[in-house]
Amino acid sequence: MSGLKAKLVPELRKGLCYEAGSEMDRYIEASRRNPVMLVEKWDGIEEIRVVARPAAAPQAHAVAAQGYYPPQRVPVSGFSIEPVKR
Amino acid sequence: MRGAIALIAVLFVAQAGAQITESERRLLQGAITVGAATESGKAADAAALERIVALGDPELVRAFSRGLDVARVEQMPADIEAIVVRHFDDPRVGAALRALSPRYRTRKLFDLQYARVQAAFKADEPSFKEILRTDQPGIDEDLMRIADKFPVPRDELPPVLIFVGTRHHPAAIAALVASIDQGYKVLGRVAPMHNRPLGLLLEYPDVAVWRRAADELERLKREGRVTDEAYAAGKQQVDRALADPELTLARMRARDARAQFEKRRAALAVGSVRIDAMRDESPRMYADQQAKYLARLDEIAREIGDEGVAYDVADQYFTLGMMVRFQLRDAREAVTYLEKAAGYHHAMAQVALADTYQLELNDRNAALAAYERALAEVTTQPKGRLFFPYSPQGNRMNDFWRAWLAQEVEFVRTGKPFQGRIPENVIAGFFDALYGNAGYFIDVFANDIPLDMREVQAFPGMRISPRSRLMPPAGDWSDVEASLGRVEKAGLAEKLAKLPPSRLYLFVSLRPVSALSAADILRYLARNDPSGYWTTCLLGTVSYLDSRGAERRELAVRTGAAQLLPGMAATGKPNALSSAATQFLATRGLRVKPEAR
Repeated sequence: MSGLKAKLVPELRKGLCYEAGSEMDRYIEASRRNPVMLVEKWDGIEEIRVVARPAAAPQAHAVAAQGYYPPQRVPVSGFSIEPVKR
Repeated sequence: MRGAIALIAVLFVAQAGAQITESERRLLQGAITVGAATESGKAADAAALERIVALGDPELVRAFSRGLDVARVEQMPADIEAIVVRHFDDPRVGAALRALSPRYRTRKLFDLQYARVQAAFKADEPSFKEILRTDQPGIDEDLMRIADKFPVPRDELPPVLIFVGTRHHPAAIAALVASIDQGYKVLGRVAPMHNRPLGLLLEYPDVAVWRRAADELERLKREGRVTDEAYAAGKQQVDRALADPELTLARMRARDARAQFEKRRAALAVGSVRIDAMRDESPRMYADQQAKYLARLDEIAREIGDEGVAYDVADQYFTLGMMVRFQLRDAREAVTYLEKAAGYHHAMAQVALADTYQLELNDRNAALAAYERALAEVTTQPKGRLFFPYSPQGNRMNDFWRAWLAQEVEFVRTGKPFQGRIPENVIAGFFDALYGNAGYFIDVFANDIPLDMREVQAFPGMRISPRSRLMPPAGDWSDVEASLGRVEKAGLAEKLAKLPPSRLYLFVSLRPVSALSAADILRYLARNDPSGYWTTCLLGTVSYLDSRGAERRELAVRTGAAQLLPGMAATGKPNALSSAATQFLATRGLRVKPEAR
């Protein structure tokens, strides 16, 4: 061993860990900071949103990044705002 | 003990090109253990390898190789490669030396392997694989000449063709084009879009090569040698590459730059893990060390010269800037990091920089310049740029950033609060922006803003970020009421008033703020959003939802507005949030106008 102690960081999904500073760590960090990401695919650039799925049942030991982004949120719409007298 | 062993070893090696006696050999063999050989490999110690070779024990050579592998020595050091060349045909250790884990680099070693491949008559000859473990140029045509000698797994392309094709060398083009047909014959095992030769050809940074691949695909179609499904998949691939060749080439360059960056960043990663451990216990020390680490990363990014790579570094500068401003409370120092990130087009850094100048440092000119830069960024999308700091144009979120930044520039310039029109798409984009970017702010504001957190069980000593402890989003009105009920209101307005003014807090603070009295809500928003543009979007939405009668609750939940503003569920007719909305709109002379459907 090189003497460096690997620090395990809780992953989004139950039961999976990864090393701090690893590619996975950086990807997860980036996706948490910016849930809107552009992914280059063969059929074009696709905008994806990293959305934590709500647990169907309580997960006692899961360390999930739940919250904040409501799943299947519909856009706020149906009105504009304007000066009373134009 | 180790010192003694080394001394013995040195003495033996030092003795003249050294014919060692059998008894000396045995003594040395006892002295160099497998563990010691592995350690020598980790240190890429050529002198140690020389001693191991003198012992003639292939197991020690293999242990040395494992050490090289563990230490991630990917390219063969010159002194080690010289040993491999010298002892290439050694009957005892030659095979183990030829199989050393790093990629070799010299023409001499290539030639030696080449001769073995030419002479080989068995498919399991290791040189078939070993010869391809190199990145040196100038060998592709020679390899293509002996490509047929290599054993080919069933339904696969010849390994040399893959090797040369992956290196984008012209020598493989004709053979790859001729193999497209073969690529489709393995269908059933793989989807049509995974035609290997076609994929390799489309990876060449050369539009002429893509056209040759496209022509071959058409020929196969004409001659009925490809199924409709396979043709459609192939056509989609070539059309995409050929639709905008410049963009395709830009994507390739960006991908190569990123791969190069990741490789060089990996070398710095070990140190950064140690820095990361300081973040909670010694934030000041962490910030200093992180700044030094980022300076090294920035140097690498500048050498690579790719905007996408720089954007990645910008993201880390932004995070550091936010931490320094809001946790260390040093806005001046924060500006240096935010400036760096903003210069690399990072949207949130540009907004945060302008916000720092405007609301904390009260530097009107710098704020104006920073907002103008952000506005310029949001309204331009240079051709060939592969990332979209403010979301692609035409997207609602982009509509919002564009509209708000224009108004904020105006506000900083004139001091006149916002009293104009906000179209429907911009309001929708405002909520998209709040939700889409909240992830940037949760952790850094977790000590300042009471977030809606839950208890999480984890292994002892494991740090769980606030982001990972947020309550699930409200699924119905009772969740909204429960969220409101969890807001600890005592002393809340006073606590929030002590924080530095910043619009950035609104990304995560609206939940507790919506539980305050109408006066406190308006006071908070006026302090952190003095132009009132964001406030207009927020309170205009509250007012609109209030007008929706029986639909109000469902709409508030489905749009996520109630998740952000659970104060909508407060008691009172009107409740505090609705009162604040009415007062704000009246003061600004604004009204909500339903849009016809």
